[in-house]
Amino acid sequence: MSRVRIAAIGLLCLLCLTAIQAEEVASVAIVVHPSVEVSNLTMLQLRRIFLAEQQFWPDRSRITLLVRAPGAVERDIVLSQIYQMNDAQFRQYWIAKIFRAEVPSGPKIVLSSNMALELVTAIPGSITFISASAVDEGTKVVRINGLLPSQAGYPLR
Amino acid sequence: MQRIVRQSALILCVATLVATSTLVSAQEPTVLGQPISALLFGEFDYRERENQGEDGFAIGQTVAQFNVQLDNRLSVFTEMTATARKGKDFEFEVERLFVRYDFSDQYKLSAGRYHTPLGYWNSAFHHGSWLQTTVSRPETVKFGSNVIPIHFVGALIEGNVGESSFGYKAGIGNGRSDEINDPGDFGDSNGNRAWLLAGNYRPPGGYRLNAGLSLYIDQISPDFEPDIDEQLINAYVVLEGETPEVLVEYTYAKHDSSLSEGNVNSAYAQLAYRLSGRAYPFKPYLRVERLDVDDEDPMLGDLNLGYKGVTAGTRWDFSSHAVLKAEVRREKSDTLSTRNSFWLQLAFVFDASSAYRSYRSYAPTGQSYGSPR
Repeated sequence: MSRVRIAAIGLLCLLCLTAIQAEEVASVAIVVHPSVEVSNLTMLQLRRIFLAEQQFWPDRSRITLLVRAPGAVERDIVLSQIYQMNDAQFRQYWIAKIFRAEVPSGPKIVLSSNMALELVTAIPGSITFISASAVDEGTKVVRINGLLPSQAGYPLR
Repeated sequence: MQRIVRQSALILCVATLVATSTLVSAQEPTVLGQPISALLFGEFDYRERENQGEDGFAIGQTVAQFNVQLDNRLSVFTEMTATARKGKDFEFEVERLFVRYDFSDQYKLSAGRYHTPLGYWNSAFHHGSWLQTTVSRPETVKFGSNVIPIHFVGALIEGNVGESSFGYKAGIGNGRSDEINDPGDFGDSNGNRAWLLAGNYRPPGGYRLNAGLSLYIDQISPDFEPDIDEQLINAYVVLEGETPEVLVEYTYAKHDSSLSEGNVNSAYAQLAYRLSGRAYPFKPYLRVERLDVDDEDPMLGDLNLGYKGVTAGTRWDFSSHAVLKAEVRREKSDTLSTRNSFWLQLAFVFDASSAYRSYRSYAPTGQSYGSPR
Protein backbone atom coordinates (compact mmCIF):
# COMPACT_ATOMS: atom_id res chain seq x y z
CA MET A 1 0.00 0.00 0.00
CA SER A 2 2.77 2.39 0.97
CA ARG A 3 4.58 1.64 -2.32
CA VAL A 4 1.43 2.51 -4.23
CA ARG A 5 1.12 5.73 -2.22
CA ILE A 6 4.76 6.63 -2.92
CA ALA A 7 4.30 5.87 -6.61
CA ALA A 8 1.14 8.00 -6.70
CA ILE A 9 2.89 10.92 -4.96
CA GLY A 10 5.83 10.55 -7.33
CA LEU A 11 3.50 10.59 -10.33
CA LEU A 12 1.72 13.65 -8.97
CA CYS A 13 5.03 15.47 -8.48
CA LEU A 14 6.08 14.56 -12.03
CA LEU A 15 2.81 15.88 -13.40
CA CYS A 16 3.21 19.12 -11.42
CA LEU A 17 6.79 19.58 -12.69
CA THR A 18 5.69 18.95 -16.24
CA ALA A 19 2.86 21.44 -15.85
CA ILE A 20 5.24 24.07 -14.43
CA GLN A 21 7.72 23.50 -17.26
CA ALA A 22 4.98 23.67 -19.85
CA GLU A 23 3.77 26.92 -18.27
CA GLU A 24 7.29 28.38 -18.51
CA VAL A 25 7.84 27.35 -22.11
CA ALA A 26 4.42 28.65 -23.07
CA SER A 27 5.16 32.16 -21.74
CA VAL A 28 7.20 34.46 -23.90
CA ALA A 29 9.33 37.16 -22.32
CA ILE A 30 10.03 40.39 -24.19
CA VAL A 31 13.69 41.28 -23.76
CA VAL A 32 15.53 44.49 -24.66
CA HIS A 33 19.10 45.72 -24.67
CA PRO A 34 20.08 46.88 -21.15
CA SER A 35 20.49 50.49 -22.32
CA VAL A 36 16.87 50.76 -23.50
CA GLU A 37 15.10 53.08 -21.06
CA VAL A 38 11.78 51.27 -21.25
CA SER A 39 10.58 48.88 -18.58
CA ASN A 40 6.90 48.56 -19.48
CA LEU A 41 4.99 48.44 -22.77
CA THR A 42 1.31 48.12 -23.48
CA MET A 43 0.26 45.43 -25.95
CA LEU A 44 -0.59 48.25 -28.36
CA GLN A 45 2.93 49.69 -28.11
CA LEU A 46 4.46 46.25 -28.44
CA ARG A 47 2.41 45.58 -31.54
CA ARG A 48 3.48 48.89 -33.11
CA ILE A 49 7.13 48.04 -32.43
CA PHE A 50 6.92 44.53 -33.85
CA LEU A 51 5.03 45.80 -36.90
CA ALA A 52 7.76 48.46 -37.37
CA GLU A 53 5.21 51.23 -37.12
CA GLN A 54 7.38 52.51 -34.31
CA GLN A 55 11.03 52.23 -35.31
CA PHE A 56 12.66 54.40 -32.65
CA TRP A 57 12.78 54.31 -28.85
CA PRO A 58 11.81 57.46 -26.96
CA ASP A 59 15.53 58.40 -26.75
CA ARG A 60 15.53 58.29 -30.61
CA SER A 61 17.82 55.29 -30.90
CA ARG A 62 16.75 52.88 -33.63
CA ILE A 63 14.91 49.73 -32.67
CA THR A 64 16.50 46.53 -34.01
CA LEU A 65 14.02 43.68 -34.12
CA LEU A 66 15.29 40.14 -33.57
CA VAL A 67 12.84 37.38 -34.48
CA ARG A 68 13.19 33.61 -34.06
CA ALA A 69 13.35 31.46 -37.17
CA PRO A 70 10.25 29.40 -38.10
CA GLY A 71 9.70 26.32 -35.97
CA ALA A 72 10.12 27.87 -32.52
CA VAL A 73 7.14 27.78 -30.14
CA GLU A 74 7.95 31.35 -29.01
CA ARG A 75 7.64 32.54 -32.60
CA ASP A 76 4.24 30.89 -32.97
CA ILE A 77 3.02 32.71 -29.85
CA VAL A 78 4.35 36.07 -31.05
CA LEU A 79 2.85 35.61 -34.51
CA SER A 80 -0.57 34.78 -33.11
CA GLN A 81 -0.66 37.20 -30.16
CA ILE A 82 1.23 40.22 -31.50
CA TYR A 83 1.18 40.02 -35.29
CA GLN A 84 -2.13 38.15 -35.58
CA MET A 85 -0.71 36.52 -38.69
CA ASN A 86 0.46 33.13 -39.83
CA ASP A 87 3.94 32.51 -41.27
CA ALA A 88 2.89 33.22 -44.86
CA GLN A 89 1.20 36.49 -43.93
CA PHE A 90 4.20 37.45 -41.79
CA ARG A 91 6.54 36.89 -44.75
CA GLN A 92 4.34 38.87 -47.11
CA TYR A 93 3.96 41.66 -44.56
CA TRP A 94 7.72 42.23 -44.37
CA ILE A 95 8.34 41.89 -48.09
CA ALA A 96 5.62 44.51 -48.64
CA LYS A 97 7.10 46.71 -45.93
CA ILE A 98 10.55 46.59 -47.56
CA PHE A 99 9.09 47.02 -51.06
CA ARG A 100 7.28 50.17 -49.93
CA ALA A 101 10.50 51.46 -48.36
CA GLU A 102 8.73 51.80 -45.01
CA VAL A 103 11.66 50.06 -43.34
CA PRO A 104 15.32 49.90 -44.34
CA SER A 105 15.37 46.16 -43.67
CA GLY A 106 13.26 43.40 -42.19
CA PRO A 107 13.63 41.82 -38.75
CA LYS A 108 16.85 39.94 -38.11
CA ILE A 109 16.43 36.20 -37.82
CA VAL A 110 17.93 34.44 -34.81
CA LEU A 111 18.22 30.69 -34.66
CA SER A 112 17.99 29.95 -30.94
CA SER A 113 17.28 31.49 -27.53
CA ASN A 114 21.03 31.64 -26.88
CA MET A 115 21.60 33.58 -30.06
CA ALA A 116 18.71 35.94 -29.22
CA LEU A 117 20.14 36.57 -25.73
CA GLU A 118 23.69 37.11 -27.01
CA LEU A 119 22.57 39.59 -29.65
CA VAL A 120 20.01 41.48 -27.61
CA THR A 121 22.66 42.24 -24.99
CA ALA A 122 25.20 43.19 -27.68
CA ILE A 123 23.17 45.38 -30.04
CA PRO A 124 22.01 48.75 -28.65
CA GLY A 125 18.29 49.35 -29.19
CA SER A 126 17.49 45.72 -29.91
CA ILE A 127 14.35 43.90 -28.79
CA THR A 128 13.52 40.22 -28.99
CA PHE A 129 11.45 37.48 -27.37
CA ILE A 130 12.52 34.28 -25.67
CA SER A 131 10.89 31.57 -23.63
CA ALA A 132 10.32 32.83 -20.08
CA SER A 133 12.25 29.81 -18.82
CA ALA A 134 15.35 30.98 -20.72
CA VAL A 135 15.54 34.34 -18.92
CA ASP A 136 18.69 34.72 -16.83
CA GLU A 137 19.85 37.33 -14.30
CA GLY A 138 21.51 39.70 -16.75
CA THR A 139 18.50 39.89 -19.04
CA LYS A 140 16.33 43.00 -19.14
CA VAL A 141 12.74 41.81 -19.35
CA VAL A 142 10.05 44.34 -20.24
CA ARG A 143 6.67 44.19 -18.49
CA ILE A 144 3.67 43.93 -20.80
CA ASN A 145 0.61 45.79 -19.58
CA GLY A 146 2.49 46.06 -16.26
CA LEU A 147 2.89 42.28 -15.93
CA LEU A 148 5.88 39.94 -15.95
CA PRO A 149 5.67 36.50 -17.61
CA SER A 150 5.25 34.77 -14.24
CA GLN A 151 2.20 36.87 -13.28
CA ALA A 152 -1.42 35.97 -13.85
CA GLY A 153 -2.99 37.70 -16.82
CA TYR A 154 0.27 38.03 -18.74
CA PRO A 155 -0.84 38.28 -22.37
CA LEU A 156 1.95 36.47 -24.25
CA ARG A 157 1.11 32.83 -23.64
CA MET B 1 10.15 86.40 -59.25
CA GLN B 2 8.97 86.24 -55.64
CA ARG B 3 7.79 82.71 -56.21
CA ILE B 4 11.18 81.63 -57.58
CA VAL B 5 12.93 83.16 -54.56
CA ARG B 6 10.48 81.44 -52.18
CA GLN B 7 10.94 78.06 -53.86
CA SER B 8 14.72 78.46 -53.96
CA ALA B 9 14.74 79.26 -50.23
CA LEU B 10 12.67 76.17 -49.50
CA ILE B 11 14.92 73.93 -51.57
CA LEU B 12 17.99 75.43 -49.89
CA CYS B 13 16.46 74.58 -46.49
CA VAL B 14 15.80 71.01 -47.57
CA ALA B 15 19.32 70.66 -48.97
CA THR B 16 20.77 72.04 -45.74
CA LEU B 17 18.78 69.55 -43.69
CA VAL B 18 19.97 66.70 -45.88
CA ALA B 19 23.58 67.88 -45.67
CA THR B 20 23.35 68.30 -41.89
CA SER B 21 21.80 64.90 -41.45
CA THR B 22 24.60 63.35 -43.49
CA LEU B 23 27.15 64.91 -41.15
CA VAL B 24 25.30 63.69 -38.08
CA SER B 25 24.83 60.24 -39.51
CA ALA B 26 28.51 59.86 -40.17
CA GLN B 27 28.96 59.81 -36.40
CA GLU B 28 26.52 56.91 -35.95
CA PRO B 29 27.85 53.79 -37.60
CA THR B 30 25.59 50.81 -37.22
CA VAL B 31 26.91 47.84 -35.28
CA LEU B 32 25.71 45.63 -38.14
CA GLY B 33 27.82 47.25 -40.81
CA GLN B 34 25.69 48.14 -43.84
CA PRO B 35 22.81 45.68 -44.14
CA ILE B 36 21.27 45.29 -47.58
CA SER B 37 17.73 44.25 -48.33
CA ALA B 38 17.38 42.94 -51.86
CA LEU B 39 14.18 41.85 -53.58
CA LEU B 40 13.68 40.54 -57.09
CA PHE B 41 10.16 40.44 -58.52
CA GLY B 42 9.29 38.75 -61.79
CA GLU B 43 6.27 37.66 -63.78
CA PHE B 44 5.34 35.62 -66.82
CA ASP B 45 1.94 36.07 -68.43
CA TYR B 46 -0.41 34.28 -70.80
CA ARG B 47 -3.35 36.17 -72.35
CA GLU B 48 -6.24 35.63 -74.74
CA ARG B 49 -8.11 38.79 -75.72
CA GLU B 50 -11.10 39.31 -78.00
CA ASN B 51 -10.49 41.50 -81.04
CA GLN B 52 -6.83 42.02 -80.37
CA GLY B 53 -3.74 40.36 -81.81
CA GLU B 54 -0.47 39.33 -80.19
CA ASP B 55 -1.96 37.10 -77.59
CA GLY B 56 -0.14 34.17 -76.06
CA PHE B 57 2.82 34.14 -73.72
CA ALA B 58 4.49 37.34 -72.62
CA ILE B 59 7.41 38.15 -70.43
CA GLY B 60 6.32 40.65 -67.84
CA GLN B 61 8.41 43.06 -65.91
CA THR B 62 11.46 42.04 -63.90
CA VAL B 63 12.20 44.27 -60.95
CA ALA B 64 15.33 44.45 -58.82
CA GLN B 65 15.21 46.44 -55.63
CA PHE B 66 17.98 47.25 -53.16
CA ASN B 67 17.75 49.05 -49.86
CA VAL B 68 21.11 49.76 -48.29
CA GLN B 69 21.25 50.97 -44.72
CA LEU B 70 24.33 53.20 -44.70
CA ASP B 71 24.03 53.67 -40.95
CA ASN B 72 21.34 53.67 -38.29
CA ARG B 73 19.50 56.60 -39.86
CA LEU B 74 20.63 56.97 -43.45
CA SER B 75 19.51 54.62 -46.20
CA VAL B 76 19.57 54.49 -49.98
CA PHE B 77 16.74 52.85 -51.87
CA THR B 78 16.95 51.92 -55.53
CA GLU B 79 14.65 50.00 -57.87
CA MET B 80 15.30 49.08 -61.48
CA THR B 81 13.09 47.36 -64.04
CA ALA B 82 13.62 45.43 -67.25
CA THR B 83 10.53 45.45 -69.47
CA ALA B 84 9.94 43.61 -72.74
CA ARG B 85 8.95 46.08 -75.51
CA LYS B 86 7.35 45.37 -78.83
CA GLY B 87 9.94 45.42 -81.61
CA LYS B 88 12.72 46.48 -79.24
CA ASP B 89 15.19 45.01 -76.83
CA PHE B 90 14.37 45.02 -73.14
CA GLU B 91 13.94 48.52 -71.76
CA PHE B 92 15.80 49.23 -68.53
CA GLU B 93 14.64 52.01 -66.25
CA VAL B 94 15.48 53.38 -62.82
CA GLU B 95 12.01 53.46 -61.26
CA ARG B 96 12.89 54.63 -57.77
CA LEU B 97 16.09 56.06 -56.38
CA PHE B 98 16.17 58.07 -53.20
CA VAL B 99 18.24 58.80 -50.14
CA ARG B 100 16.41 58.96 -46.82
CA TYR B 101 17.43 60.17 -43.41
CA ASP B 102 15.27 59.03 -40.49
CA PHE B 103 15.40 61.62 -37.70
CA SER B 104 12.68 59.80 -35.76
CA ASP B 105 9.35 58.09 -36.32
CA GLN B 106 7.85 61.54 -36.78
CA TYR B 107 10.34 62.98 -39.29
CA LYS B 108 11.91 61.14 -42.21
CA LEU B 109 13.40 63.29 -44.94
CA SER B 110 14.26 62.00 -48.38
CA ALA B 111 15.12 63.21 -51.87
CA GLY B 112 15.03 61.40 -55.19
CA ARG B 113 12.59 59.62 -57.50
CA TYR B 114 9.53 57.86 -56.05
CA HIS B 115 6.26 56.25 -56.96
CA THR B 116 3.98 59.23 -56.40
CA PRO B 117 2.42 58.66 -52.97
CA LEU B 118 -0.99 59.62 -54.29
CA GLY B 119 -3.53 57.07 -53.17
CA TYR B 120 -2.95 53.47 -52.22
CA TRP B 121 -2.25 51.16 -55.14
CA ASN B 122 0.43 53.24 -56.82
CA SER B 123 2.81 53.04 -53.88
CA ALA B 124 1.59 49.85 -52.19
CA PHE B 125 2.02 47.44 -55.12
CA HIS B 126 3.38 49.19 -58.18
CA HIS B 127 5.90 46.76 -59.79
CA GLY B 128 5.43 44.07 -57.18
CA SER B 129 3.12 41.71 -59.07
CA TRP B 130 3.60 39.06 -56.41
CA LEU B 131 2.28 41.50 -53.81
CA GLN B 132 -0.91 42.48 -55.58
CA THR B 133 -3.79 40.03 -55.52
CA THR B 134 -4.85 40.54 -59.14
CA VAL B 135 -3.03 40.16 -62.45
CA SER B 136 -3.87 43.64 -63.64
CA ARG B 137 -3.67 47.07 -62.10
CA PRO B 138 -6.68 49.39 -62.04
CA GLU B 139 -6.89 51.49 -65.21
CA THR B 140 -6.10 54.74 -63.37
CA VAL B 141 -2.75 53.52 -62.08
CA LYS B 142 -1.71 51.20 -64.89
CA PHE B 143 1.78 51.61 -66.34
CA GLY B 144 1.89 54.62 -68.63
CA SER B 145 -1.29 56.06 -67.13
CA ASN B 146 -1.93 59.70 -67.89
CA VAL B 147 -4.52 60.14 -65.16
CA ILE B 148 -2.13 60.43 -62.25
CA PRO B 149 1.58 61.20 -62.34
CA ILE B 150 2.98 57.71 -61.66
CA HIS B 151 6.41 58.98 -60.58
CA PHE B 152 7.53 61.94 -58.54
CA VAL B 153 10.99 63.52 -58.58
CA GLY B 154 11.67 65.77 -55.63
CA ALA B 155 11.87 65.72 -51.85
CA LEU B 156 9.52 64.23 -49.25
CA ILE B 157 9.10 64.56 -45.54
CA GLU B 158 7.03 61.87 -43.89
CA GLY B 159 6.34 60.16 -40.58
CA ASN B 160 3.83 59.50 -37.85
CA VAL B 161 1.84 62.25 -36.20
CA GLY B 162 3.14 62.08 -32.65
CA GLU B 163 2.58 58.64 -31.14
CA SER B 164 -0.72 58.22 -32.96
CA SER B 165 -1.74 55.91 -35.77
CA PHE B 166 -1.91 58.84 -38.17
CA GLY B 167 0.79 59.27 -40.79
CA TYR B 168 1.62 62.11 -43.16
CA LYS B 169 3.67 62.86 -46.25
CA ALA B 170 4.47 66.26 -47.71
CA GLY B 171 6.49 66.72 -50.85
CA ILE B 172 7.73 69.16 -53.44
CA GLY B 173 8.89 68.04 -56.86
CA ASN B 174 9.21 68.74 -60.56
CA GLY B 175 5.76 67.47 -61.42
CA ARG B 176 4.93 66.27 -64.90
CA SER B 177 7.26 67.11 -67.77
CA ASP B 178 6.19 68.24 -71.27
CA GLU B 179 5.35 64.59 -71.89
CA ILE B 180 2.58 64.34 -69.32
CA ASN B 181 3.29 60.80 -68.18
CA ASP B 182 6.98 61.50 -67.57
CA PRO B 183 8.10 62.83 -64.19
CA GLY B 184 10.64 65.48 -65.18
CA ASP B 185 13.85 63.63 -64.38
CA PHE B 186 15.97 66.38 -65.90
CA GLY B 187 14.37 69.28 -64.02
CA ASP B 188 11.12 71.15 -63.89
CA SER B 189 10.08 71.95 -67.45
CA ASN B 190 8.16 75.10 -66.55
CA GLY B 191 9.54 76.33 -63.23
CA ASN B 192 6.35 75.53 -61.31
CA ARG B 193 6.95 72.91 -58.66
CA ALA B 194 4.38 70.24 -57.89
CA TRP B 195 3.12 69.96 -54.29
CA LEU B 196 1.88 66.90 -52.56
CA LEU B 197 0.21 66.37 -49.21
CA ALA B 198 -1.02 63.02 -47.93
CA GLY B 199 -2.33 61.67 -44.66
CA ASN B 200 -3.42 58.24 -43.58
CA TYR B 201 -4.81 56.43 -40.55
CA ARG B 202 -3.66 52.90 -39.81
CA PRO B 203 -4.78 51.66 -36.38
CA PRO B 204 -3.40 48.39 -35.07
CA GLY B 205 -5.95 45.63 -35.34
CA GLY B 206 -6.71 42.34 -37.00
CA TYR B 207 -8.44 43.84 -40.06
CA ARG B 208 -5.49 46.16 -40.69
CA LEU B 209 -7.51 49.20 -41.71
CA ASN B 210 -5.71 51.83 -43.74
CA ALA B 211 -7.57 54.97 -44.78
CA GLY B 212 -5.98 57.91 -46.52
CA LEU B 213 -6.50 61.22 -48.26
CA SER B 214 -4.03 62.93 -50.60
CA LEU B 215 -3.78 66.12 -52.60
CA TYR B 216 -1.49 66.91 -55.53
CA ILE B 217 -1.15 70.33 -57.19
CA ASP B 218 0.89 71.19 -60.27
CA GLN B 219 0.99 73.44 -63.30
CA ILE B 220 1.80 71.73 -66.58
CA SER B 221 3.05 73.28 -69.80
CA PRO B 222 2.34 70.70 -72.52
CA ASP B 223 3.46 71.30 -76.09
CA PHE B 224 -0.08 71.21 -77.44
CA GLU B 225 -1.91 73.53 -75.01
CA PRO B 226 -1.51 76.67 -72.91
CA ASP B 227 -0.47 76.09 -69.29
CA ILE B 228 -2.81 73.78 -67.40
CA ASP B 229 -3.45 73.90 -63.66
CA GLU B 230 -3.83 70.40 -62.27
CA GLN B 231 -5.39 69.41 -58.96
CA LEU B 232 -5.72 65.79 -57.92
CA ILE B 233 -7.52 64.48 -54.87
CA ASN B 234 -7.47 60.85 -53.84
CA ALA B 235 -9.26 59.05 -51.03
CA TYR B 236 -9.01 55.39 -50.15
CA VAL B 237 -10.14 52.87 -47.56
CA VAL B 238 -8.35 49.56 -47.44
CA LEU B 239 -8.49 46.45 -45.25
CA GLU B 240 -5.01 45.04 -45.73
CA GLY B 241 -5.81 41.68 -44.18
CA GLU B 242 -6.96 38.71 -46.22
CA THR B 243 -10.27 37.70 -44.62
CA PRO B 244 -11.42 39.88 -46.24
CA GLU B 245 -9.11 42.08 -48.30
CA VAL B 246 -10.93 45.24 -49.37
CA LEU B 247 -9.60 48.07 -51.51
CA VAL B 248 -11.73 51.08 -52.40
CA GLU B 249 -10.08 54.06 -54.02
CA TYR B 250 -11.40 57.23 -55.63
CA THR B 251 -9.45 59.80 -57.61
CA TYR B 252 -10.70 63.19 -58.76
CA ALA B 253 -8.71 65.40 -61.13
CA LYS B 254 -9.43 68.95 -62.21
CA HIS B 255 -7.62 70.57 -65.13
CA ASP B 256 -7.95 74.27 -65.98
CA SER B 257 -6.42 76.13 -68.88
CA SER B 258 -7.23 79.47 -70.48
CA LEU B 259 -9.15 77.57 -73.20
CA SER B 260 -11.19 75.05 -71.28
CA GLU B 261 -11.60 73.12 -68.06
CA GLY B 262 -12.62 69.58 -67.23
CA ASN B 263 -12.78 66.89 -64.60
CA VAL B 264 -11.76 63.28 -64.30
CA ASN B 265 -13.49 60.86 -61.95
CA SER B 266 -12.04 57.46 -61.32
CA ALA B 267 -12.88 54.74 -58.83
CA TYR B 268 -12.43 51.06 -58.21
CA ALA B 269 -13.53 48.62 -55.54
CA GLN B 270 -11.84 45.28 -55.04
CA LEU B 271 -12.85 42.45 -52.74
CA ALA B 272 -10.83 39.31 -52.09
CA TYR B 273 -11.07 36.56 -49.51
CA ARG B 274 -8.48 33.99 -48.45
CA LEU B 275 -10.17 30.60 -48.16
CA SER B 276 -9.61 28.35 -45.18
CA GLY B 277 -8.67 24.73 -44.56
CA ARG B 278 -7.30 22.81 -47.50
CA ALA B 279 -8.34 25.62 -49.82
CA TYR B 280 -6.15 28.11 -47.91
CA PRO B 281 -3.74 28.72 -50.82
CA PHE B 282 -6.61 30.14 -52.89
CA LYS B 283 -7.84 33.72 -52.77
CA PRO B 284 -10.73 34.55 -55.13
CA TYR B 285 -11.28 38.20 -56.01
CA LEU B 286 -13.54 40.61 -57.81
CA ARG B 287 -12.93 44.18 -58.91
CA VAL B 288 -15.16 46.75 -60.55
CA GLU B 289 -13.81 50.02 -61.83
CA ARG B 290 -14.78 53.08 -63.78
CA LEU B 291 -12.94 56.02 -65.29
CA ASP B 292 -14.81 59.04 -66.67
CA VAL B 293 -13.08 61.93 -68.44
CA ASP B 294 -14.83 65.15 -69.56
CA ASP B 295 -14.49 65.72 -73.28
CA GLU B 296 -13.58 69.34 -72.47
CA ASP B 297 -10.70 68.36 -70.20
CA PRO B 298 -7.72 70.32 -71.64
CA MET B 299 -5.20 67.63 -70.77
CA LEU B 300 -6.99 64.29 -71.08
CA GLY B 301 -10.21 65.08 -72.99
CA ASP B 302 -8.82 64.03 -76.40
CA LEU B 303 -7.18 60.83 -75.24
CA ASN B 304 -10.29 58.62 -75.10
CA LEU B 305 -9.50 57.33 -71.62
CA GLY B 306 -13.06 56.51 -70.54
CA TYR B 307 -13.21 52.96 -69.19
CA LYS B 308 -15.48 50.51 -67.40
CA GLY B 309 -14.30 47.12 -66.31
CA VAL B 310 -15.10 44.07 -64.22
CA THR B 311 -12.33 41.70 -63.22
CA ALA B 312 -12.72 38.35 -61.49
CA GLY B 313 -10.21 35.67 -60.74
CA THR B 314 -8.34 33.70 -58.18
CA ARG B 315 -4.85 33.76 -56.78
CA TRP B 316 -3.17 30.46 -55.92
CA ASP B 317 -0.21 30.70 -53.56
CA PHE B 318 1.25 27.34 -54.54
CA SER B 319 4.65 28.24 -53.08
CA SER B 320 5.87 30.48 -50.28
CA HIS B 321 7.34 32.91 -52.84
CA ALA B 322 5.41 32.23 -56.06
CA VAL B 323 1.79 32.53 -57.14
CA LEU B 324 -0.34 31.65 -60.11
CA LYS B 325 -3.28 33.93 -60.91
CA ALA B 326 -6.12 33.25 -63.32
CA GLU B 327 -8.31 36.20 -64.28
CA VAL B 328 -11.15 37.09 -66.63
CA ARG B 329 -12.00 40.66 -67.55
CA ARG B 330 -14.90 42.34 -69.23
CA GLU B 331 -13.98 45.84 -70.34
CA LYS B 332 -15.44 48.70 -72.29
CA SER B 333 -13.41 51.75 -73.19
CA ASP B 334 -13.86 54.83 -75.39
CA THR B 335 -11.71 53.19 -78.05
CA LEU B 336 -12.98 49.60 -77.84
CA SER B 337 -16.33 47.91 -77.90
CA THR B 338 -16.98 45.51 -75.03
CA ARG B 339 -14.09 43.06 -74.81
CA ASN B 340 -13.57 39.89 -72.83
CA SER B 341 -10.16 38.56 -72.00
CA PHE B 342 -8.50 35.79 -70.06
CA TRP B 343 -5.20 36.12 -68.24
CA LEU B 344 -2.80 33.84 -66.43
CA GLN B 345 0.13 35.17 -64.49
CA LEU B 346 2.98 33.43 -62.74
CA ALA B 347 4.58 35.89 -60.32
CA PHE B 348 7.41 35.37 -57.90
CA VAL B 349 9.62 37.22 -55.44
CA PHE B 350 13.16 36.42 -54.41
CA ASP B 351 14.10 37.84 -51.01
CA ALA B 352 17.85 38.00 -50.80
CA SER B 353 18.30 39.93 -47.59
CA SER B 354 21.84 39.82 -46.32
CA ALA B 355 20.85 40.68 -42.76
CA TYR B 356 21.46 37.16 -41.56
CA ARG B 357 24.99 37.18 -42.98
CA SER B 358 25.62 40.44 -41.11
CA TYR B 359 24.78 38.72 -37.87
CA ARG B 360 26.94 35.75 -38.65
CA SER B 361 29.87 38.09 -39.20
CA TYR B 362 29.01 39.95 -36.01
CA ALA B 363 28.90 36.77 -33.90
CA PRO B 364 32.05 36.09 -31.89
CA THR B 365 34.52 33.91 -33.76
CA GLY B 366 33.89 30.21 -33.35
CA GLN B 367 30.53 30.79 -31.63
CA SER B 368 27.83 28.37 -32.66
CA TYR B 369 24.22 29.30 -32.12
CA GLY B 370 22.86 25.96 -33.25
CA SER B 371 20.14 25.46 -35.76
CA PRO B 372 16.44 26.31 -35.72
CA ARG B 373 14.23 24.03 -33.75
